[in-house]
Amino acid sequence: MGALGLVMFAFVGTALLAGVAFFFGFSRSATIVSVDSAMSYVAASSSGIAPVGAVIATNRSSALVTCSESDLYLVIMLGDGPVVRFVRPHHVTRQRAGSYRVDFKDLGFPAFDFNGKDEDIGALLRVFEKASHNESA
Amino acid sequence: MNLPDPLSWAVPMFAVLVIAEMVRAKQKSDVRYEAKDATASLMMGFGNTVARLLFGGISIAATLWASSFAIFDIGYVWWAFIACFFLEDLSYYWFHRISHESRWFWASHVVHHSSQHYNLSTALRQTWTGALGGTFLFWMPLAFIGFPPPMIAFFSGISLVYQFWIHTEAIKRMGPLELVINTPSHHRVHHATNPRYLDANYAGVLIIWDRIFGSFVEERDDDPATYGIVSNLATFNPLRIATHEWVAMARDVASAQNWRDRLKYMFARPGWSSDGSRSTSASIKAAWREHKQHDVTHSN
Repeated sequence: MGALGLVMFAFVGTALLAGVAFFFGFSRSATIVSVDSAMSYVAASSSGIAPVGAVIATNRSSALVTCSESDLYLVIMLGDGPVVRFVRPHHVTRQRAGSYRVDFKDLGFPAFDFNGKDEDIGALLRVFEKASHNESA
Repeated sequence: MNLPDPLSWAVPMFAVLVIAEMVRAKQKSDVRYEAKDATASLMMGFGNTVARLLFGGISIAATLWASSFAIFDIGYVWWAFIACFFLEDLSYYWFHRISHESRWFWASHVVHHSSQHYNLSTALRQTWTGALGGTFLFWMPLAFIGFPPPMIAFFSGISLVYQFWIHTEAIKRMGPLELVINTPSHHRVHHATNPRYLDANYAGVLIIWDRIFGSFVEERDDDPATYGIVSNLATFNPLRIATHEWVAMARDVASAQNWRDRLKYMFARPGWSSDGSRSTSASIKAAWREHKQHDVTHSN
């Protein structure tokens, strides 16, 4: 096979496989169905983590999960499955009451919003404030 | 002697296996695909094919040049095939290890680690700048010893083909084979960013090199792998994936105050910085060990 043939062959293969990935619906992220499932994803990620609360993001494919007094985790659905990342306070910005901007660019995810009443996400806020305090100390 | 190109022969099999794994991902949760990520990986594979055609001549010329100074005249005898298999695999181990320990080589290799997924499409996420970055240097000693360059290329191709199938979460552990060969379990560790797993399992075909040189780490069920790189990319743009570390390196070199720092920004461990403000894998591991020690102390 000549060089041009090889390039064409590789191009067709790339297009075919990418097409199959989209055809199978891997472009849609699954949703996190409940706070309990968000916490179970984090608990399953490491034996030493005990989640205590969670808030599901507006897009329903991400959640912030609190564990202990100062640990915050992100659960994000990549395609069909969840991945869990440890979150630093600088990732989360309070925009106004009940609205939080989460920017995980350095973790490789786009920014998104959490909306909800402050009292509903009180545990998260307490963890966030405590972690912010620890980070700035 | 005409030896086949294993990579050319294996490409159709790659496509079939990727589709088979996608089908499994539809049925079972132990395999995960994301369309944009898989497409980015596939495009990196396509770009790698083009880059090999454009720049592969550099590697061939370098190997032939080394071959012209060969110490021995090793022909295509049976024992040479066996020796070349082992020595090529050893060369791959050191190429791979140094690709993680020196930023110059990491700038090419980081591409392969830039997916946050671990599936067969990740295996195809390959660099575009390997030949330009001089990765062929690691195979030149084999030509200098006297192994025929086509034989070196053949085993290098075998190694690449072998490493395709180990990029999967569908296969868990493989019993006694785990002692000798590189398996999906060993390679999951290699792709993980968990502090425990950083800088481990550089093997190509045989895991024995990691066991001999002290870089072997076993996968643990209580610490599932988190895939990607320490600072993940928020992009699926193939051009940025291919060049981001080179661009970052150029910026660092341009802003460095002296030549010592410039050289260190190019060749020291990834994450090295003149003011120590960034994390290297060593500092991440040290912080993790300290944290673990702290936990143990407080639980006693």
